[in-house]
Amino acid sequence: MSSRTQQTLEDYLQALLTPVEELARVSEQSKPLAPVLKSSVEKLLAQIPVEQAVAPVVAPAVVTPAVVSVPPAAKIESVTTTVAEPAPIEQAMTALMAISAYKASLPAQFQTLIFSVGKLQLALPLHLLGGIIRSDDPPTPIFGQPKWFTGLLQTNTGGLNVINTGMYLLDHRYEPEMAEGYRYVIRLGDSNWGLSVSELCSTRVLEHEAIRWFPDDNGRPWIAGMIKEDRCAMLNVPALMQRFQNESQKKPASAKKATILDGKTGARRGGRRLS
Amino acid sequence: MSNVTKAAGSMKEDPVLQWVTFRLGNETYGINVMQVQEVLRYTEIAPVPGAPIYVLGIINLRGNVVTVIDTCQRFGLPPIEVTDNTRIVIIEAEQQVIGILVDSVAEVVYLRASEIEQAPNVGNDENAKFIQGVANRDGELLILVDLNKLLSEAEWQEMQFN
Repeated sequence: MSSRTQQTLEDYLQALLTPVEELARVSEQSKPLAPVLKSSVEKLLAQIPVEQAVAPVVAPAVVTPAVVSVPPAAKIESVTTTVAEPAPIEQAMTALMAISAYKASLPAQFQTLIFSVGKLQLALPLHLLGGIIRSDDPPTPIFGQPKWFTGLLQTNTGGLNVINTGMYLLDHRYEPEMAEGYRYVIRLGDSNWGLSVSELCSTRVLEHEAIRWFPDDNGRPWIAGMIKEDRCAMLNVPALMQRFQNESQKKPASAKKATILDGKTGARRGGRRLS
Repeated sequence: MSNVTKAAGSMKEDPVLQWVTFRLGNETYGINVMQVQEVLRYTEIAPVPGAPIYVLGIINLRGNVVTVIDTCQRFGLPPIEVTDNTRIVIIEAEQQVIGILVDSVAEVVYLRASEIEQAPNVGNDENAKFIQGVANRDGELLILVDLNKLLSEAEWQEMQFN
């Protein structure tokens, strides 16, 4: 590798440790996916079974299932036959918050999905991928939620909380046009959280050395490191899941179950008399 | 155990609830049918000077004054345009009768309690407390609104004097 290339790479890697302005700037350097990689992604997608999901419609009519998704376990394992069996995600959740622990939990070789959010490329280990849902129909927005919470997407495994990944990760450097390009939702592990994604770029089998791991105190615990060759950030999935979980526990839910009203509320029927 | 007894036991454990659905913008919301008194076509709403921002005004309902709430404002949604489908739903909550302005009223749906899922509850936005849960109804996501929480205790009290 020439010194110039090395310098460019180093600059890029460093950018993720710097404020988001830098992150956004560097992400613009990402190149479009080569045709050969596209075919590998298409091959991966071809192995994804269709999960019946439903999309919100205006009228209370029959709805055509419009979402393709990867159910967790079985099919993902068939894609990742060359990698070691991962630990159950639930067990991993709390233990793998720190990047060092996350790194230690990954097998010597593991398959990774590289995807893009706008021009920003990200990656996550395939065994922590709960599913890929083609978001032909937008999630249903729920009022009272943060702007980065896109909405709720109905799948046959329940509601999926969809995050506007660009807005969440890039913060004020986020550009609204980015959301227009979202085509998929990636379910994080077996959680009910999903990341909006523009493109599925490629899959790669990685070894630990292929990644420049960040220290635990890098200030962005949800980014575990940088894949050197692909120049993209490796997500710390357990940390990201925990982060969303924390967000959802900031205050108690208003009500978990519906209460039955008996109609004897003692309300004053008909309002007040006009004087 | 007879089939009738089994069915009764099942109903007790997982009761069926009726919800009146209405639309605001592109979404469909549901409110407990037991709290709905009637549904009115849009009628002129007389503004009340000095009323809170969430109060659109008052209407005369067969000689009674009913305060109409700006539902969109309350939910933090863009204001709606009044059309032929616009309705004022007269509801009772917290021992008061008020009206809520909605884009249209759709239907009454039956939901088992077990079909109602907890709504996502992210962040600290106060509006989120109005959501009682969500349910998937024929492929459509129904957002169930807790009318009792539409206003705070102080606001309900204030409503009595508007």
